[in-house]
Amino acid sequence: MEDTDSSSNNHVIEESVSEIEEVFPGSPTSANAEVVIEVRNLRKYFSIQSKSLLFTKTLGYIKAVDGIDLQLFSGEVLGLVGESGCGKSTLSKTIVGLEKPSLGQVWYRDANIHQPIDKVERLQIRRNIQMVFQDPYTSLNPRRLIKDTLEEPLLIHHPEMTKEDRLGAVYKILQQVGLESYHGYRYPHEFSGGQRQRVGLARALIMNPEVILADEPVSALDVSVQASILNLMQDLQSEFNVAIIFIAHDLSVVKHVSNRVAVMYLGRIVEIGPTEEVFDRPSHPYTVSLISAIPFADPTVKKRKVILEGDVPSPVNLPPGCRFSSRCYKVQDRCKEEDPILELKRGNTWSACLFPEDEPVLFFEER
Amino acid sequence: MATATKDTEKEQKIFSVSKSQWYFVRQRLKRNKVGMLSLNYIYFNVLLAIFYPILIASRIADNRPGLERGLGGGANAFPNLRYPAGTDSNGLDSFSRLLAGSETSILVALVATGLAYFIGISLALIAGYYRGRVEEIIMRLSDLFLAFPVLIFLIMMLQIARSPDAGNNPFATTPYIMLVAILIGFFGWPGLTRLVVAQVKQVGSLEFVHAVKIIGASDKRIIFLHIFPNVLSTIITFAALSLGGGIIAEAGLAFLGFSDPINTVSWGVQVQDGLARLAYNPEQVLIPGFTIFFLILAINLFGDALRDALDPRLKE
Repeated sequence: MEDTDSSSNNHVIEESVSEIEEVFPGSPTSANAEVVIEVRNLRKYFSIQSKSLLFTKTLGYIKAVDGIDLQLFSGEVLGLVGESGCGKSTLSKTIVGLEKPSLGQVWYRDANIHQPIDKVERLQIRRNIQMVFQDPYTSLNPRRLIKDTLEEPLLIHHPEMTKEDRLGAVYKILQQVGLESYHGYRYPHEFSGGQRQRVGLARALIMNPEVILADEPVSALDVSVQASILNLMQDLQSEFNVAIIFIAHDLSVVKHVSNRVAVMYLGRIVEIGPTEEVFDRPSHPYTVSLISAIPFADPTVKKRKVILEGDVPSPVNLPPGCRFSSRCYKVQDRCKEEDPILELKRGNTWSACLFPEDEPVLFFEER
Repeated sequence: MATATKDTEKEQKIFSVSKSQWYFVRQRLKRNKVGMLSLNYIYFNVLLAIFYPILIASRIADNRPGLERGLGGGANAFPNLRYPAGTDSNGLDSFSRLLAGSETSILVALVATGLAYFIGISLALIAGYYRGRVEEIIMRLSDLFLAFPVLIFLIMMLQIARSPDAGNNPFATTPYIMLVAILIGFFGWPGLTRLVVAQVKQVGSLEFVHAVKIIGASDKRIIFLHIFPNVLSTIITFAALSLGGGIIAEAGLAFLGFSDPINTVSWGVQVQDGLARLAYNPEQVLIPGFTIFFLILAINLFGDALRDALDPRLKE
């Protein structure tokens, strides 16, 4: 599998793109929210190649992200859920600029992330979009002191700062994430997973960014540590007023932290809306099946059992029509021909389904 | 009062910088007896190579056999008290030549390894970090160099560099031994490059490198401050093999007659000289041969010790 060279593959991709209107599904939860990140028809295809010494043959494309429109508003937490391999991580990497999109753009306010005009704009984007990583064991350089890791953003963005100022900022952020200033003089291998994730948070926050992408920040941690890190993230989120895209496959975690939820399936967003609405009255059958799979430690909660059959289709050969049609329990003939687009269905919830679910999933039994 | 001093002590202790990983590497290395013995032997050889001029005997060459027999002098004398390694076919003190040869051997190994490392690591960092077409080109280039019949090519290049056409030959005045060192180094990089490229790719795909990219660090900064220190242990371990290889290559070329026996002494030259009298004076071949052998052995054993010490899985 090779990274596609976006320039050489554009014609292939453009053929598969029919005219898609610029719709931005999802409405802000608060009235005075501004758009900080705008994802416009983002596609990221990886080519599958067979290589010999001289010739490279492209056999097909893995459509990791296949047409996503998304807006992130200032100061909100957007939860992004979906099963493994649905393109969550590719989406996040493309948003922070680690991957170049095959098609589409990502805008931070009025700057295109992948084509900054000059160095100043590039650094401005870099300052304002940060990431917290999944694996606390590989996200810190093992050969550098914590203090050096945290000082680095300051060195790059504020070369005029004195050493004392930088150290002061490092001590301050360490205390804000619940560590002590002397922890700066330790190496990463002397920390536990939870502590490392705190350092990762500190590194993301030290530049006071506007957006943080948290790519499964707690999935590598123990449950007890997960809770403390999640609470810390929530505290810091309101303290720094930062917008967070929170990627997780654990729905209860997403429900706990996020204001809005986007559900991804095979490279597309299938449902997006305020957290309570999506969890109480999901309209896309895929969301219904996800929510019915959350275990509840409450005997009064009754839920509909929806168990999906079959596996996720290969992102190379997508089923015609709706991409969920091969596993959907409500599938009809029309689903296999028509590809649904995201539409406002109920309240503020948008979903891409021809036959949206009306029934609630969870019931509360009176005893 | 007592508690106050205790508190400040404690504070100093927690605020002290943690020991770096190199400290633990040194600790582990110190516990390895074979490794330390080898290291001391290498130190000993390096010291000899530097200070040999004050140790060598100032004896004039005397090629008349049997002269000064009481002291064991003359040409082709066996080892004795006056000439600890005997004398060679020119009546020169073999021990002094051995000491002088250490300089040549170690210098050639260092220059060759230095050059091979400079080329190899630069290419490996570029190939492993940028990947894609750049990597493809560099890797195929290293394949090309690996497929070369290096020895034949070395001999050919040495002959060309020594050609009497002094006007057009830029290497006419370069010392022969430097030519040998540079050529060995020039062909010594592909193995290292392959090894380091794999390491650079592995380290480069770790999340901390992504994190630094997101912060907006320049490529230069990422390569030198983040990737290079994390592949350093591989590079250091490989240095032992490479140094040994340099010494052997020089000795091998000298043995085949591609050296400058008039102006330089080296262990390979001594073996080559002694070959003519192998049946009568085997020590003329054996002593320099074993000198090479022991130094290479020490370097390789130290390399093994270093690899064990640098292995992060052996953390305590």
